[in-house]
Amino acid sequence: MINIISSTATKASKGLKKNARKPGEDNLRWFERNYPNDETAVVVLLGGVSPAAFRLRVAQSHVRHTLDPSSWSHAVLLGERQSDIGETVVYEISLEPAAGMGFPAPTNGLQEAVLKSYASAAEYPNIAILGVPVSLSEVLHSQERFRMQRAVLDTVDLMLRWLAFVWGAASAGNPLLENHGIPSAAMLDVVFGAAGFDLTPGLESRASCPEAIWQSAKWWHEYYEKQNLPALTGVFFDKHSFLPTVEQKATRTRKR
Amino acid sequence: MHIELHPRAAPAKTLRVWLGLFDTTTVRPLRWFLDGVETQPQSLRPLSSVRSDAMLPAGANPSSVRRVFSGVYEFGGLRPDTVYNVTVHADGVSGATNIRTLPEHIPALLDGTFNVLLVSCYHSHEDAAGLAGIIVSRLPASAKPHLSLLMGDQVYLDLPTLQNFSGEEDWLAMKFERDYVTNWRGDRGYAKILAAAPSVCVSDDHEYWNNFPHPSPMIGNSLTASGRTRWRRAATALQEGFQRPYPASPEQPFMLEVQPLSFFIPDQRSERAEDRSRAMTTQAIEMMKSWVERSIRLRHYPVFVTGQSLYATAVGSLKGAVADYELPNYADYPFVMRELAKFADAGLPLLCLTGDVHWGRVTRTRDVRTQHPAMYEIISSPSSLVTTVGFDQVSAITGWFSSLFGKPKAWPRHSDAERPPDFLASDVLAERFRNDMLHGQRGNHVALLQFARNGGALDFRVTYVPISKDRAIGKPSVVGPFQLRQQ
Repeated sequence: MINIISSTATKASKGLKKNARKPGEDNLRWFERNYPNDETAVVVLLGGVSPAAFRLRVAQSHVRHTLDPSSWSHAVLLGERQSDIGETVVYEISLEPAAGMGFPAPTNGLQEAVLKSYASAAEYPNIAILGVPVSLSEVLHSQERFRMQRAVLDTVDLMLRWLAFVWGAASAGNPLLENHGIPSAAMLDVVFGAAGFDLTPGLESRASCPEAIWQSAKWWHEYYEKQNLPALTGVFFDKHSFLPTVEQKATRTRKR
Repeated sequence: MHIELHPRAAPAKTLRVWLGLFDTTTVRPLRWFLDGVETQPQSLRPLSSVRSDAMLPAGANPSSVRRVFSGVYEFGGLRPDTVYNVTVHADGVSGATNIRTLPEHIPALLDGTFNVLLVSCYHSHEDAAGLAGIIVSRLPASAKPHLSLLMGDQVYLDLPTLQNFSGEEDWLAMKFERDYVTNWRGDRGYAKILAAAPSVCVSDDHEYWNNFPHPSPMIGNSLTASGRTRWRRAATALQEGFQRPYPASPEQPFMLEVQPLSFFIPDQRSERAEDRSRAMTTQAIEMMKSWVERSIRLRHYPVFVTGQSLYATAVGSLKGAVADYELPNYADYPFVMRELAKFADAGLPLLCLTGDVHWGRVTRTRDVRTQHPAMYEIISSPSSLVTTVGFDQVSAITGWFSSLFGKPKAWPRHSDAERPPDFLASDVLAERFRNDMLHGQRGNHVALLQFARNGGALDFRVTYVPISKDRAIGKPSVVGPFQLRQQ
């Protein structure tokens, strides 16, 4: 069982706005239109449609009280914005990195890519860009230290657990059910936590995942306000879903 | 003469040290040095004999009786989280130790952890090799404790069970002093635990006798009022001389802040009323009220440390009289629990730490009104299980037979952890706080709590370190990490 608490908020955050992709627009153009203007750190959520992304989205259904698949399969931290937005550095722990896994141990699994890796709207139909109210330099400093601190969170171990699940190896079960977070989101949780920001207040453990970050942005704004902290803000487009085709009757639930 | 120095818990910019002069007949003039510089500390307990002259054998000349003299001293105006060398000279003999002051704040997630060692129930007779001290002293650098909470039964003054105890106060005081010397003196066994980090001692029944202050059928002296009074006086003198966490007392609970944690450590044993009208003194209750109010106001995460579990249920009068009454058997328990429930009202999760029960356990308690974790209880017990005449022999025989059939039983004398009640203090708090047992630990062990700040939350995990030479049995168990988060 996953220990995730529902927020008591009855209305979704007004700081999170939907902005549809224009016809023919790729994700980079969408990012350009919606990139935050301030100095805060930026987290991007991605909802992919590859077999691995499908497995990850379904695995996170246990974090949703509706038990339907998440819109999100991946979460990354952006570096300083570059004039060519596609060249903006992405800090992540991907289970299918374009450049291959290499030897992940020396960096605690942390990988660097560029944002244009996620340009394809067909491969990543769901996108969200979230402003996290912490200075980017602090988060990047944490991210540097994270590479040396496997004792705090061993993401190499998480990668192996999640690869086993995603690839269906032997009898590998859903690691979230044993409180093992999805590596990239779990890394972000630690990196932001060390920089002083609680990215997933609904979680009681470090079993973070993109869906938990999404729920923080959408439903935990009142928690941040209560702590006298600015909440997460951002823009999203989540048209793609793996929803069941026949809906159950008689359950009135809040769409998360 | 021999000198021992043991670090004591103190606020971050302060260093406290317990000084023991062993095998001496009188107070000696002291010269103190801090990092090589002669420094005069403040005295919290002036150097004095742990056995007053009145507790010496009749007719003995106090100036010729070798005994222990102890004092507690404090150095102020220091840097937090810094190692200082403390040296003391007394009459040509010296003692020295290195002590790290406590940090002011819990470190952030990637900057290390604040480590608290939890130890209780140490019977030296069952740890002749001093294994508990060796294992604690060999904890890896990242797990070295900053603070030790010694949560009761640091000595077993009422053992051995089959020994014929005199009823004379001087005999009792001398016997008790010997028990303390066994654990407090030297560089092995329990003394290594005392040396591991600044510590706070919590008294439980065996600092006096089983089920103190009530009569115990196994303790002949406890069966008469005069016998209890003499024993109590002698045990109290020794408790003050070796364990009391000065400047605290049963009236003034020990309090400590390592922000955002706030520890409250009352003595719920030494001033228990025989009629069970209270476990804490009236003044301590008042201080608890102030602590609850202050912690809520400052949004500190509260830590309540006791010698017995708050999660216990009241025992019947027969079991209470034969074994040990539980905290719910005392009339101030409802007040204590209602005060602690105020933290849940304020959205502040509480940590309860204790020992006593001879097994380890981690319990999470949810507030059914919010579904948020409202409390965690961590039990660490025992570090060296006390001898139980009769039961141990039966367990040994059962264990031997099991091994014949290829099923050697680890820790044959120990019990598995008991499950907590479904609801915490349901007589007082109804069914508001639901308990989930997350881990049970069997066998001798110590536990290490490691804290780190994670955004506005506080991460912690519990590592149970078995006290065993067997590699398979001695493998530590990690429980967590969990997050304490204000709501």
